[in-house]
Amino acid sequence: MRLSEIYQNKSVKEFGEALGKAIGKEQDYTSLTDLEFAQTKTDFADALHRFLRRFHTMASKKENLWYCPSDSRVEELMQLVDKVAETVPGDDNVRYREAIRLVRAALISRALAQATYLRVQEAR
Amino acid sequence: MPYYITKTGLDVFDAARAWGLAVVLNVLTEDEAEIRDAEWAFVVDSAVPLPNNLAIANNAWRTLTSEQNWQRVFITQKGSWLNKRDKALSVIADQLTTLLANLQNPANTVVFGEGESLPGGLDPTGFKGLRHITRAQYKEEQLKVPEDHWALACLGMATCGTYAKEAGQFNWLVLLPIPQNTHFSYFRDVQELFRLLELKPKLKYYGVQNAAAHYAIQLAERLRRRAAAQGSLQDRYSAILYFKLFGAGQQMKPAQGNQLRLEPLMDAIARDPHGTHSMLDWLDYCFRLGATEGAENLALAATELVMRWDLEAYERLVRVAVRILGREQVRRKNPEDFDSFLRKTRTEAIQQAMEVMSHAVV
Repeated sequence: MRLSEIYQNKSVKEFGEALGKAIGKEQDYTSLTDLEFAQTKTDFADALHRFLRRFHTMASKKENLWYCPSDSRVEELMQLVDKVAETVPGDDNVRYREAIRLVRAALISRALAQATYLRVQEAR
Repeated sequence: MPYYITKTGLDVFDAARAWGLAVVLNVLTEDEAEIRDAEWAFVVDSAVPLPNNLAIANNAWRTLTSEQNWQRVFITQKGSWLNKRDKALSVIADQLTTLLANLQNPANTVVFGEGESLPGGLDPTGFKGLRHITRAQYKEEQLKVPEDHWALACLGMATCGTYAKEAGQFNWLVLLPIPQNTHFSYFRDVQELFRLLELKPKLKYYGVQNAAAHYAIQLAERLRRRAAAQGSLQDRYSAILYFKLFGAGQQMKPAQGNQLRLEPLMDAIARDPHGTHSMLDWLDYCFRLGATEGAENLALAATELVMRWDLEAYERLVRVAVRILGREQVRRKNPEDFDSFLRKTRTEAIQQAMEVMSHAVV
């Protein structure tokens, strides 16, 4: 599966934009590091859940309520990881590591675009 | 009638001869010449037949003597570069008929060992001590190449090569694009295409790869602009040859060198000349902002991506780019490029970069 196809995925878009908002507005680099260190499927799912919790806390403190991705988006993301892993050759470890790298790259790309967009808006 | 520049394995020497022959055909016919890479040779052809009288000493030929690059091609010869330049031009003018007749034969070969010494400023393999193990003694001979081929290569490098001095240093960065399928209409036009953009203040590069990768993006953007104006990509380049010369006491010596593949960028431009603009612009600003103190890893990550176009390099770049957003000291040091970098980092640019990465297909 191509990275550009994963980038277009709805749950990647929603989650990535939330991550971008957290980084651009709240300097939440902890979640970014958390995701970067995830090597296995369980680590990745945990990192996503932890980010979601942090994001909920950040959002609850905002006067203008932020849109929060739902828990079902985490499930969709993990299903996407499974789907990508099916297309990768090698044993389970290799397949999932590669699949996580692809999904994570797409998520961070979305976050980068969103965070820079917010910074540009802020500067204006 | 096609002419064949048989490849010898000395990459810069081969590409420079192809460019040199294109200049000669262009001056003779006052019309376009075409260079095509046929793997084993560069095939150079003129759009119109050559005139019966092969007199090359016209005004266009005379203007070639004023090229500043001659001095850089013969940078290792120091004061005698003028004599070498005149010799190279006179060899071509005097031996033109036999040279062209020889190059029409597809089986023509270049025999090493006799003729003129290959200057180190033209091809780093011209330097002693690089081709063989010299052990404790420094006995390696100069690399001698036939006079007519030497002259063609010097002409090609002086007209189409790019020599850029590093900021605040005595080092030279030397760049030469390898033509894949290219039209040569006027050497000034090629020079304009191949120049390294002089930014003020001059960018500080972290090594020759970093400079070559930024040059690749600048060249790709100029080609993209032409492709967008003409409707399709007319000229393709397969790679950029680059090497560095540094001052070692009284002499210039070669440092690192290699080639940077341009096919991924050329394919992307050919697919979508308008769409690739945002990606090239974004990468350009990754290099510009990367030259700022504190943002070095951005420049290095962008270099890696342009060199490899794989998922690992791409992932590193986006991770570094996200972190750069939070570095206030970088913003304070270079607010202009920082703001431009923010504006250029857009979804379209990122998506185009993903399209270029054919290696990301798993």
